[in-house]
Amino acid sequence: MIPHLTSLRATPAVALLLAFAALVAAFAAPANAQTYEELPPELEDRAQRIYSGVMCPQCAGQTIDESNAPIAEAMRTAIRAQLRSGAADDAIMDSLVQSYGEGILASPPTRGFSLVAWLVPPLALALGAAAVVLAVRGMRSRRAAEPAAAAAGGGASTAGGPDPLPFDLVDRELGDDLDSTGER
Amino acid sequence: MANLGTATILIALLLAAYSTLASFVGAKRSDAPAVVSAQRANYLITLTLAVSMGALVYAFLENDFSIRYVAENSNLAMPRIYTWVAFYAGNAGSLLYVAFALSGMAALSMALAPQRLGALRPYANGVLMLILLFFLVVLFFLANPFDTLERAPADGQGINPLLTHPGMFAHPPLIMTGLVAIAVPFSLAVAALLRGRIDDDWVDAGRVWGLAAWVLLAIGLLLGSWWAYTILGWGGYWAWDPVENAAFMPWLALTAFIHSIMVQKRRGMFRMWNIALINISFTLGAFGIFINRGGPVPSVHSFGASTLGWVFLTFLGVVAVASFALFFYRMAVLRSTSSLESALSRETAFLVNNLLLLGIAFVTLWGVVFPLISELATGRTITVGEPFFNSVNGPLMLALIMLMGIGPLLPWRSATWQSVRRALLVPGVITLVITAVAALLFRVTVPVVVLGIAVSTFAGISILQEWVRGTLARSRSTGALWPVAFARLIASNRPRYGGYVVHLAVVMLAFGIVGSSFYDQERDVFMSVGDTATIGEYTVEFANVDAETFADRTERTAILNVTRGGEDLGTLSAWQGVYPSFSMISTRAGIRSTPQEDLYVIFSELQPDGRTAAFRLLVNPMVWWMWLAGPFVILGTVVALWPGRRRAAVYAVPQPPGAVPSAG
Repeated sequence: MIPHLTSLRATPAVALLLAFAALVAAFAAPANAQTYEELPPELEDRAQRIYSGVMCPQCAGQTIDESNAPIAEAMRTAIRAQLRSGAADDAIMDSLVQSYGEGILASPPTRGFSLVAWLVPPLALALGAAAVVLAVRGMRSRRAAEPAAAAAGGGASTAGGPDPLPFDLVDRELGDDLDSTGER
Repeated sequence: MANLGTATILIALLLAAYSTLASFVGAKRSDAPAVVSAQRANYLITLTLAVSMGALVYAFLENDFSIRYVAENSNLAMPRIYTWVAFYAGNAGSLLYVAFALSGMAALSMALAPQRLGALRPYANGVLMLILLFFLVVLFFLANPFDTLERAPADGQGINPLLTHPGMFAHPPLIMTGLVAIAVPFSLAVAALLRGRIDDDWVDAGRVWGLAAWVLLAIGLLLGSWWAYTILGWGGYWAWDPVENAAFMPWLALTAFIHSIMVQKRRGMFRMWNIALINISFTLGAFGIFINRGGPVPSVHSFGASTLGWVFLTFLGVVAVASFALFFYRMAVLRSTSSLESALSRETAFLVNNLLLLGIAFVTLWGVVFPLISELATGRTITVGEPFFNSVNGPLMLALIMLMGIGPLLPWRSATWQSVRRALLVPGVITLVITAVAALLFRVTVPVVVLGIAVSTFAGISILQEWVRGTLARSRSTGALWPVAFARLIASNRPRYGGYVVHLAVVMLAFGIVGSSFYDQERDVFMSVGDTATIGEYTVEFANVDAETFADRTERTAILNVTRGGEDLGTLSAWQGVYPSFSMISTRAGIRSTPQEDLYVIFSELQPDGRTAAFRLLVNPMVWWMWLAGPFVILGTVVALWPGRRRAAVYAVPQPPGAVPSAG
């Protein structure tokens, strides 16, 4: 019933989860008609936000917002029921983590070791930005150190190196200097 | 067939080993006959593997279930047209395809290699053949698609129903071909390093093949999104799934490369950096193949996942270590021939572009590997999913689009703040007006969305301004009509104006993503025949359901009448196929697509009474624009790659043909 190969592996864990889901569904949704009972708009928004933060335990890589799997359906229903009974978003998330482990959250929590997941990207970017600044400085200071070469047209430091292409000629030939400086 | 297939793989393997050896030995000893012969062996491999491919296709068409791969990936009921999809539905077949694609690229790149490559050519050929050799060894010893079963079953297991979609004819082969196509610019860069004389010889061919790999991946990724959108049934098109990420990361690095290589082409700068970039791209490509073929992370793409993970992990490790070891060994030779004149210049803009693109690639890589790190460190499994990627990569992407609007307005070498202000003024003002009008008209209040609209509009307007100004200036100075002047403008600098066309496509994508991520509406409903449901301004009536039973599946089509404000918009059909042997339901959305928004209906479950069904209704604004981006990406790349006479004339000056050792 679920469009994923991985969901077909009938491991004991999956069987347990299915049983749990069935139980939840049985309590929360005695009839189909009520499965889709609309929440008030404010609760509906919160429900959607929670769905997109919770993974479907059986479907690789999909949140319960995306998945049509029965267990996702059951979890959505359970979350709706909890919302209707006035539970806070955090409390709902916590109870999900209690039942399924931290892996149920679609993004790493901002505490404990998982905080590293959030800290590394900005650090890496800062390092990258620093590298760019250093590179720009370095390339400019090299220019200062080779005034003669630079004065010869910003291009040809031929000392020892292979014969460079006449970039000024290329620039002019392609009309780029004209476009980017002459007409602006 | 099985014998022919296995034999051709073995022949290709031996040829690749020979070609590798002959290339390197020939290059070292300047032995022209050896080099020529190595190259001919390269061409011959493509022919041999074409025979292998043909043998496997034939086995599929003949339902030769004595071949294990055929038995596992097709059955008698499978429509013949899906033979091609079944071909790469599993591990061994897709590896055969990858080997063929790589060999085709290798042959083509060597055959088309300009004489200018000269002494680089044998080294590049050797590197390509070495990579190909790896795949052929895996194919022959570990994943032979022609392995036979002792007793042929009466019928095969069949193809995964999710794969029976038109998008599947092109998405997997494009991604696989794109990933291995990175091997060509990579081999050119490695050839330059191996040879130890780093001039700019490899740059032109490297750029062309970098662009080729880039466009293959770009279209492959878009088609994959389209497939996910129409068939996976959640109304989305991108889920930051590990395998999507695996193709996305090398694409990002290649995007950085095709920008940065222009700086080397034009200004002789960033020589080291470009080689590092193509090393990163290919390493990420190898990572992509590793994740895709038996990687350690769960994914929607777990089709034919295998136990070959360690093989590809080794390949990845060798590629990364070897390419960067060589890079650092030769670093001293990689000096730039010119220096930066001003921190405010297009060169700097390209550097920032590279920083942002690699930043996104890094975040994506980090998100893919962090669950493994966490599991090793704490023993707990955690998920790094969409919310993480969206919130970390989102701002970087916005910054990138902003830069797309500013960068092209900066001249090479150096700019003054005054000239920049002047260039930004018109697009800036137009952007403010458009954003304000759009925000009021569509009652947009979410700050991120307002920012997204502003930034994308700005990027679009700044490109249009470049075109308008250039066209007007040309028309003034030559007296040509505007269309003529515009055509000449484009022809005057194809890489640049082709790039702008692709930038426009990116703007379209940005609008599609912003619109559909923030303003989608979604409802799950139960309807019986005759019932109606509303979503947004649409009213959907469940008119009828048709059912048809085939050998392997039952197809059901829900017919829905759509109206909006009393106006009849025709019917939509939402499809589902029930595959008992796979115990799964495959759905295909009914979509009414307009530039403004898509009405999207998934027919997910039919009750036993046959008249009541569960539907998921969505309204996705502006998704239409995302698919329009595809043709623009192709168009822009073709413009950028179109061979021009002028460049050749310029390059002919410093490279007299007699000085180039011919390699056949």
